[in-house]
Amino acid sequence: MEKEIIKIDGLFKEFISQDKSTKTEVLKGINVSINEGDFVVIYGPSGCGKSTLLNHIVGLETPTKGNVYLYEKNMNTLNAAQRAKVRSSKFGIVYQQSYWAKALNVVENVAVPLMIVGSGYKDSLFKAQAILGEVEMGQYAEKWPLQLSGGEQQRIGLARALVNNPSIIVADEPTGNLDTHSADYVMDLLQKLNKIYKRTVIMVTHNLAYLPLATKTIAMLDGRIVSEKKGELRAQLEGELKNLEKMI
Amino acid sequence: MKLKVIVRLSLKNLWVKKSRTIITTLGIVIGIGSIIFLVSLGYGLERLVTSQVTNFEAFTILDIPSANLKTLKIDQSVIDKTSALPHVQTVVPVDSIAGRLGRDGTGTSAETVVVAAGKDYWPMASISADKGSLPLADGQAMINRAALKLLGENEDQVIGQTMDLDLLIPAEIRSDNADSVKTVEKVPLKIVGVEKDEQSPIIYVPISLLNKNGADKFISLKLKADTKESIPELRKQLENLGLSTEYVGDTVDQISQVFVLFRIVLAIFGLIALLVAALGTFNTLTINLLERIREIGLFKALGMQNADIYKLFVTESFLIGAFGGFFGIILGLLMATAINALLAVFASKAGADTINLFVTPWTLELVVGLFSILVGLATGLYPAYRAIKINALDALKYE
Ligand SMILES: Nc1ncnc2c1ncn2[C@@H]1O[C@H](COP(=O)(O)OP(=O)(O)OP(=O)(O)O)[C@@H](O)[C@H]1O
Ligand SMILES: [Mg+2]
Repeated sequence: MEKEIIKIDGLFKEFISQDKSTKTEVLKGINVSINEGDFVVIYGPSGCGKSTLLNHIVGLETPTKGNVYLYEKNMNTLNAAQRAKVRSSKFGIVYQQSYWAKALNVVENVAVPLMIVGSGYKDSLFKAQAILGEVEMGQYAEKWPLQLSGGEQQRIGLARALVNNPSIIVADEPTGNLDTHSADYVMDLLQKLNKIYKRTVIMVTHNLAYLPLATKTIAMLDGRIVSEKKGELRAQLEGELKNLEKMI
Repeated sequence: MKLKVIVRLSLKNLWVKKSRTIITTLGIVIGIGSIIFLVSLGYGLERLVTSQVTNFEAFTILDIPSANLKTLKIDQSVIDKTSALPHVQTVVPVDSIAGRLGRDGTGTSAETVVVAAGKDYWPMASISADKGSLPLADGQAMINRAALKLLGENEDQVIGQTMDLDLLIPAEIRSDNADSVKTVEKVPLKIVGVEKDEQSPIIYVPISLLNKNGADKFISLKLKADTKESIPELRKQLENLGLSTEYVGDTVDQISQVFVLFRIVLAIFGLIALLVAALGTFNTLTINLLERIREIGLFKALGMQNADIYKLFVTESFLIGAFGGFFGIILGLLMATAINALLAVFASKAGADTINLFVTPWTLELVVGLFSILVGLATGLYPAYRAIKINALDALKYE
């Protein structure tokens, strides 16, 4: 029996505009369960609430109604500081766009999550350098992140997400801005992390070609989950793919 | 986060915006420098004035005048009583009467004041011989330039000469109950020294000269205590004995009060400069904040605690304040030292005494240094507060 690490229970989210005149309901009763070692792919049209859902998982948003449980702990019971602590210790987050501390070079940027959890400066840089090597970006350590290409930046972003050795990797359209080659690299890495290192991956994508990588696919539409496919989909699709290759 | 790491990140942030940081810090440097410079001038001027009034030794000395004493004339018994008080090192009497000084054979004579005192009196009253020596032994006298001038004597030849002094001893300082002034004529005195005052004619003689001629009371006493600190207690005890006291510290205190005010005025000028600099710092920190909104969003998304973000910003302003304070103090000291040195050169050329127009006590440096850090911190508080109020997700979307 696989261990359930994330459980979302009847999640509603309503945004109130600044002048309080309009309310938009973005999440309308989401129920999801994610097991340790899952590779979850969430897809759906733009504006359906995918990013908002991820933000609830990592504790950057709080529900209007409903609960998010992380390792059986109700995130609603945590204050902002405690949620930040959870984020820094449990999650590695990758965005479509790369964000950088402008005063820091590549390796220092990658080291920030370590510094956040209390490592010393030199230690953090040492580990960050090692993880940069893992994503084949070691030689860019002393460069400024903004000098690098989008693909290179995304790899460094991945390194930063992984440097704390997080058990859950949350990726919001990580390949959205990338050319195919760079995108493939990112996807290979995520797959490797999932398959070999048994990390749980939760990814949002618009690229349906990545669906076969998932152990669970979640289709969203207008704040609701419209289809949730579990289990052997990946194996099934992998099998089909092989058949197709044979036919060709 | 480790404080060391926070400081390092803050330093990097400041370093990346080198010119902005340097200009901002320079503002603080100038503000702090002008405070040090101006307040040092205040201290220096005070020192100049009070050193005219007194030397350090003078703060251990009390005067006990008899002028306003109706019931008590100062005589040997008073000297004995006061000498016996704790913390008293010496008590010396002084009399001052009228006299007429003349020279045998020349026929010239001059009215002078005769100051008669015990031998410890002279250094305590800062009276010294410009030429020759003090009148310490019987039959000796020291004459000042004003008296020499009246007599038409040459100061280079007068030492060693004998002069005649008529003493007019008033009844108040005698115990013989006669009413009138007692005149003692033509006491021969050997001139052993010349005092430099050219204002009014004075001849200085040992107190024994008056004692021998029937004066056994004194116009006033000078009392030397072991330390400055024992003065207040001593004054109380002397007042209990029915004696009044005069203390140079009283005058100096009054002068000091005036100078405290003067320094405050000078400091306010410096503070205005610092205030402008503080506004500049505030402006810089706000710009830094606005430029780093996304970065703050990122840090929050990565799980950085608000407390750490707060520290990150406050540390930057702290560093600006600390660097500004440090270099500001150096700037102020440099300017003060330079002007002092310049004055010293002029003074030595003019053959005058060197004066220090600027005096900077280390306490001033300490207080101003701490103040600079405080100002730095204060300007950082609001931007830091704004930083932690930022919503992470909004910040990541911020353009
Ligand atoms: N802070 C907010 N205030 C108001 N509305 C918001 C806020 N955040 C998101 N929304 C709205 O919620 C809806 C869902 O947004 P969300 O970013 O979750 O969509 P998404 O599925 O990730 O879309 P995309 O694929 O374009 O990234 C959108 O209509 C968006 O405008
Ligand atoms: Mg999105």
